[in-house]
Amino acid sequence: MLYLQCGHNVTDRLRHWQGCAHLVGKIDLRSVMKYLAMCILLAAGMLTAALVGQESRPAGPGPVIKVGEPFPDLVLPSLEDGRPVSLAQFRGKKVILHVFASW
Amino acid sequence: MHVPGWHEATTQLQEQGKVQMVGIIQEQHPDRARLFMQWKRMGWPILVDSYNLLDVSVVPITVTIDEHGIVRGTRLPVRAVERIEQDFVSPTFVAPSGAVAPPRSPDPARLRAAARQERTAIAWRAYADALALSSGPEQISSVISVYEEVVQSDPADARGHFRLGVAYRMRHDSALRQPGDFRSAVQHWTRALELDPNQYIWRRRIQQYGPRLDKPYPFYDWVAKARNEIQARGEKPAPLRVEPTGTELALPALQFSSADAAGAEPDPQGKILRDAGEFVLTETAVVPSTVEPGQAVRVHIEFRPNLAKKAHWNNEVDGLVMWLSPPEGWQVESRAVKVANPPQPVSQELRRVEVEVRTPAGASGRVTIPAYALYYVCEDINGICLYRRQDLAISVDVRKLGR
Repeated sequence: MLYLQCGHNVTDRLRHWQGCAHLVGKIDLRSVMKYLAMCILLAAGMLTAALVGQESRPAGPGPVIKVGEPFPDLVLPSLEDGRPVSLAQFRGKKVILHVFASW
Repeated sequence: MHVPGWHEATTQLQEQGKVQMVGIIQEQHPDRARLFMQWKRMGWPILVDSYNLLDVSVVPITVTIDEHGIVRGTRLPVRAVERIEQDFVSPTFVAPSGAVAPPRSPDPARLRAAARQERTAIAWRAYADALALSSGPEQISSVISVYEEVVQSDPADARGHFRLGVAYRMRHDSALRQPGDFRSAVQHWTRALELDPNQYIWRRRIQQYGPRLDKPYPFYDWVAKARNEIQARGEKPAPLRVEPTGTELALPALQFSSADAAGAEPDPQGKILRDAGEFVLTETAVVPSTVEPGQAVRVHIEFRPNLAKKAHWNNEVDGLVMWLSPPEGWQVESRAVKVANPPQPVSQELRRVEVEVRTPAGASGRVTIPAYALYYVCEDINGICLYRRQDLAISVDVRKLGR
């Protein structure tokens, strides 16, 4: 969970910090602990958010991804060529949809 | 992001023809995701959702959708990979009793008519979303004007503010850019997050350009490594339309240097003749646009030679220098910031300066940090080269947000 929600492996990050110690001065153990605590809070917060789904979202219409319901009617541009694509074109296949960012 | 184990397992399922992998990216700059996909050899269809129309508030999310278009799970990746064969791939799902209507592209003309009649934020937003999806980059100003209608109809429409910010930043990165676009983007993103502080995707969009102290890690430090590895494989890395800038590569840890360690001020008496934007156009944005006392902001300043004057940088002398004079109690990362010249003798490129400023605990209200830039610039109409100073006022809005 730490790995996922913090985006990168925590130990890699700590190594990265150590590698940059000459830039930032002596590694501050408190800031490292703060970072780890932040990751844990983020992980817990986002797990909760994922489990409660849209319930805590502000009022107003918006797509809702809900188990047992059709995937929202949303047509989005393709990264490849900008053409509009909907997930309906994969009907008949089992789809694993990954919503993500490269950061 | 690449998740070891999950990626390998799902790739195998796709290669066996058991599933179709699809991605939706939640990024301002989608071509960076293309480079990432190339680097990690993730060869599945990707849809772009820079405006967050899917309305998810976190990433990553994995959604399993059965052969009938019905959502069967919304699990986080690690849990998904452990159970995906058993829970999703092996079973045959029963078709729903009613027919599932195929998704359709929204009709902007119909939604425009509805918005003009109803004049509600929700109706304007539906039209703006449709326009954002259906129009090309050359129509970004129309998209902005319709999202402006959303937030004017309801200043508390958080989604409207976020999407308006996305559109402003898109125009800022295009040839259609207008002065103040980036600043407007940041203001609307900041407002959106004030209205919905739990929206992690929106929070990350501000952090992308914001203070390093706010970041859990650098956003795009992987780009250089990705390019090297792709080139080592004998492939050509996918191009990026907008290169990541300082803030997007910045390290999370930062100690503010002593304000007195920057050396002598270059023009303390203000003797250098002023350029009031005649030769070099400047644009300033403070991220986030509103900050709590004691917190940091990241200041972005862009300098562009005025093409109407046929102005260009003179690179045979010193590069651009910016000097900040923070008020008592304010801390700056560095009072003097320099931009090195490129190797060619003249150039017309955009020059960026980014610097972080920490507000004192007792600060409040709108505070101006005096600053100025010194540069060598030439113009080709009269054929003269000049050394000029441009005064800048960096305005920081400090207030308690009451969370």
